[in-house]
Amino acid sequence: MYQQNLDKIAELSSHSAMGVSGPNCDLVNFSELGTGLSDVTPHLAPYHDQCRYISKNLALYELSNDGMKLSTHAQANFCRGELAKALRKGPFQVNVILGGYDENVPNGGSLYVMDYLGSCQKVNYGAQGYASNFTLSIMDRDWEEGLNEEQAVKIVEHCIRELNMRFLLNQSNFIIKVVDKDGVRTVKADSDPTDN
Amino acid sequence: YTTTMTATAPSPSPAKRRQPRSRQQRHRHCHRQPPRILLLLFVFSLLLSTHAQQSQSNPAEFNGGSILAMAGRNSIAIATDSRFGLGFQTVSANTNTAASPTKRLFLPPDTHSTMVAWTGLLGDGTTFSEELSALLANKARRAGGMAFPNDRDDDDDDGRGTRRNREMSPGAVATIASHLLYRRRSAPYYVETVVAGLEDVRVPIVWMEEEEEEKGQGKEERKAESSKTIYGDIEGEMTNARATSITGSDRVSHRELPMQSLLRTATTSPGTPPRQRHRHRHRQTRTIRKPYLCTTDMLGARSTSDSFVCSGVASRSLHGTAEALWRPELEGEELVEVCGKAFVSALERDCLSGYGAVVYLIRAVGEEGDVEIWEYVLDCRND
Repeated sequence: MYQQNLDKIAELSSHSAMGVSGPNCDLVNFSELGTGLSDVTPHLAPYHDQCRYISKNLALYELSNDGMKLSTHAQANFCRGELAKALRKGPFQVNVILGGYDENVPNGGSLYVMDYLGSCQKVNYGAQGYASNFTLSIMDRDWEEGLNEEQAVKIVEHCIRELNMRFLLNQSNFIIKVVDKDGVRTVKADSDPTDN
Repeated sequence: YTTTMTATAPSPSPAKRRQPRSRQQRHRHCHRQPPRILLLLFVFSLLLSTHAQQSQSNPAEFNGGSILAMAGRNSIAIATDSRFGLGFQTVSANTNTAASPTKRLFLPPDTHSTMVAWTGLLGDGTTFSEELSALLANKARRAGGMAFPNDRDDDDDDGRGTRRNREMSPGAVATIASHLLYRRRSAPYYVETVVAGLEDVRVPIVWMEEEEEEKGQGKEERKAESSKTIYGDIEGEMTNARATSITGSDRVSHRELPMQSLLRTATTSPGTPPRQRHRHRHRQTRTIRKPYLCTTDMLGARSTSDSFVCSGVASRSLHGTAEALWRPELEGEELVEVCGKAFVSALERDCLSGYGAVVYLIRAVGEEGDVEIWEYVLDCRND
């Protein structure tokens, strides 16, 4: 075990966040997890600068198009396109869950689940990795239309409790982030990502 | 000597076995080999024979999904399921609703009566459908820009009007899809497509109603003949039809009738007023909308059919149910029912498809060749 406090949820833009799971090199390369790492290991800073592919491309779009932000749907499609392009060249072996808030979308929030083969699905709840075997059924049962933030976080905590109880390879440190009209914020962090 | 087939005891390890010396020993040695090989083959076949286990590693079946398209009189029904999974695990069941960004079934741009659907790996399929849509939109844009502002001429030789009014036929879309897939020959898209649509076909006009009835007997015979084969000889019939029109004959011959009987349009009066007859001696043709069904495999090999095509993980079952339930001259709601029944009953036996079925009905209405597309959502087992 190398690190207990890696924050795997990258903030893509002001109103969207992407959680990635997979080998670390691909994680960092694909999203923007280099943020905290540059402080920790400054001698690797040039490497980390290259590592924020998706989020910096989205920032570029915003800059070149008069401050127009991409919707979550567009961000998800861009992300999927990059995964699909890289698939036959040098695949990113990351599985991604991308969530974001848009004003003009009926429920506000939308969630997209992508895997390293380039498939993208809009879902109400999702899980990647071994966690999915345990938590998808919990969310099948608990999720309903029109939950508020408190109820949603409760469901996530239920899933985490379940993993703690049943999952053999479980890590006990989880970070919960919420994306809403005010942006991305951390609701609960079991360990500080910036700890050395 | 006696040859003994030792089917139970495994032979000693190859490292220790020496070459048998006597002829008798060598013969027995040879006979002892097959049971071991058989045993190995048996074990391997157990491991690989179960369809579900194979699907874990087979990219074309990893995500699941099936499609069935059926042809009827001037209409087509396409059914697709809604499951998206990663091997055994079902991730979501809303693949083909308006909410999901990746649809396995879509209307290509600049076509009003064609639908393209695909099964296979979802990532590759989404990329493929984006490529296809972009290519067709590009073609349409270029063609539209080069059009001359002529009116659509009904007496046109080609019968298709100017470029501006022309839409891409399903055969052309299928060809483009097939080429796109073959382009990736070295690293193929794990996608099998189904292209279904109504295409315009020129057919000579039947003048006399009396002649039709007279030749009613011939009609039925011909109908029985041509509906016997699943992959009918459409080209043969087409060339026959065109040949008679070019010769300028007003009379209806036997060879034209099969087309007429199978492919009648909604036009009520078969004959046009006599004045048109005087104006144009030859080429009394009209356009009908004929169903076109085509499926391609992963590398773009096309196969067309008059009755139905299917694709996806449940395709074996689908071939069976569709073959049993399809009959010619289905129309409208009845076609949807038949297609839906065949589809759902095949899905119930397949674990990698299901979780909702949607049937689209493409139907030609009226004389102008307008096309309606209806969506029917069916219930099916969620397991």
